[in-house]
Amino acid sequence: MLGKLLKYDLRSVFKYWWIAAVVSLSLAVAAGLLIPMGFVENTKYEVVQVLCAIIAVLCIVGMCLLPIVGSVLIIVRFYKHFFTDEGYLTFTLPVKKHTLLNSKLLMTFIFQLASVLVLVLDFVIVYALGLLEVFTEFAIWNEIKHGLDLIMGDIVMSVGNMWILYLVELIIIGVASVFVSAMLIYLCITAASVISKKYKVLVAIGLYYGANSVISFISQFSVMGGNYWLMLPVLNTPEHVNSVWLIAAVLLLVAGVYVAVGAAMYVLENYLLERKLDLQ
Amino acid sequence: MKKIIKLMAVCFILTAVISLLPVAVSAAESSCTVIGDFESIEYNGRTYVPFEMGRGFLVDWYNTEIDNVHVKSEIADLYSRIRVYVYDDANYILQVYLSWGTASDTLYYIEDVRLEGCTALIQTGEGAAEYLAESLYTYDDYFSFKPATVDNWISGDKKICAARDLAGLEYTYLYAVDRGGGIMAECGLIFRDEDGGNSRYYLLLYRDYEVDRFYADGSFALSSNMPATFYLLGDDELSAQLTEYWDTVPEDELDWMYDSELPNAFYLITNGLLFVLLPLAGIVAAVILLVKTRARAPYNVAVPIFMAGCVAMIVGYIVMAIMSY
Repeated sequence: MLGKLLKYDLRSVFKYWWIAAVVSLSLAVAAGLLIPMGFVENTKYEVVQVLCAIIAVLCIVGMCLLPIVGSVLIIVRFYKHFFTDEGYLTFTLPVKKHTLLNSKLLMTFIFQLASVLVLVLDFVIVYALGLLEVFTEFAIWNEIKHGLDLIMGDIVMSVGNMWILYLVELIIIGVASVFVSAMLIYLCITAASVISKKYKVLVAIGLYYGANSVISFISQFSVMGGNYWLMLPVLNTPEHVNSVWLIAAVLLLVAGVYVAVGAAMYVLENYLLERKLDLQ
Repeated sequence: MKKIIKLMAVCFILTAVISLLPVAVSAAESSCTVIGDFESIEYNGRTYVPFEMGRGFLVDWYNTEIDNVHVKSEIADLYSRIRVYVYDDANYILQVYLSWGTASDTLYYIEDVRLEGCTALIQTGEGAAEYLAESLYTYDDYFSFKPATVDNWISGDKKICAARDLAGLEYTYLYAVDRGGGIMAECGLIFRDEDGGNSRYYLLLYRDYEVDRFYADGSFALSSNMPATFYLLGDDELSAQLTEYWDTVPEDELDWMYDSELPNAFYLITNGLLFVLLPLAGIVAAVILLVKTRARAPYNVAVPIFMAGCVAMIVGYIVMAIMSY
């Protein structure tokens, strides 16, 4: 049943998302074509050159909005499918409520990943069409490769094989953070629907703002405490050779926080959907 | 459900592979390489060979105008400072780099010259650079000594070992300064080995061929397993000066970092509450939830995940706490 739910969720969002993706790709093509006209010196048509440069920059900004558009579509789908008139129908489906939620979470992950992939493709297009033309003399690709070499060289040389552990931890953090972000929004919308019948959206925005503020405060406080109490003494003593393990421990802690908070939100969301939600 | 799991697995693998690609490429190419096809410079019977530092860029000798190399004093005299001025077509100084040479290894490099097609004008400084040892924990007070003493230093016994082996020792940075007193570059580390009442000092110079993979940051040097050459200070007079200077550094120099004991205790308690007690309470609550709702809550898979996250938090925090004490 999860497969069917996911299919309809994907289809529902994809109906609009593909337009945003095509627009994003088109803007990338436009930016790629305009960049040489806007940034290669051409004194004869100076006004045209400036206009091309401005439009190219706007195109790049526009194409970068795809993940935001994707997020909005996902949130709207969640809200409409659960908490508007459509919700009455949704919750009469012969499926468990957690299956409905799983479908929404998987849909979020798939579209976030797709948005990132399209953005990468956008930048490849801009690079291939535009930047290659402008930076022919500067061998920009070599510079980027040099930069990557330096960064990775630094990492590999300084931490040895520990980078594999770091990478695994970072992947867990990355995936978990996508779920946590989505769960926070879903939780706020659900809680708002439990609290208020009339002003669900307004309350949801308020709850999200409040939750974000609290999370920011706690994380800032923890980071500050971690810096003063844990990191500085370690990094400023000869024993800071242990800093490679310290970083691994910090990443483990962060991964643990994301996983635990995400799972707790999931359980709470299920509880609200099962026990507290009243769409009558 | 199986299809979803398969789809997720493919997504994970793709993400991991995409992330790994640049890492693998960089790791394969990050080693220090000597330029194969180059022109060397002959000067005063010495051969100066351009080479790439681990984090530097190739020196493109073909695009530099060797004719413009003006040597005011002997090039690459033992640890002398060399300024490299890079001009563009408009003939103004685009960037100034520092370079260091060693006579013993007949090596010579220019650091970070990466602008192709520019004119490089290489000059030595006004004279040999003065070296400066920063005291262990101070940032205002310096102990300086002349290059001649560095010369004496490296004539002492050599100790070749991994930098990590000296990680437990106190150390201080060695800087080069110009005549105006400005710090120009970090050149190495001085380690102190307390053996009873006697202090032994080791010098690690970054700008030596044998340590060319070390970076200018001492922390990186210390975390490296690569063998390096350390020079034992054989100059008793300098050793005594260093000991006197080192020991007169007030012990409370680091106080500014910690403000007072109160914030440490405060952060210890609050972070302990956040990352140990709270997750512990969470685990207990999760166990109760699992036991009570086992039969009728199939979404309970989230509960073990929650517990795993809590365990990771506790382990991470405890490891951090152990390392900081």
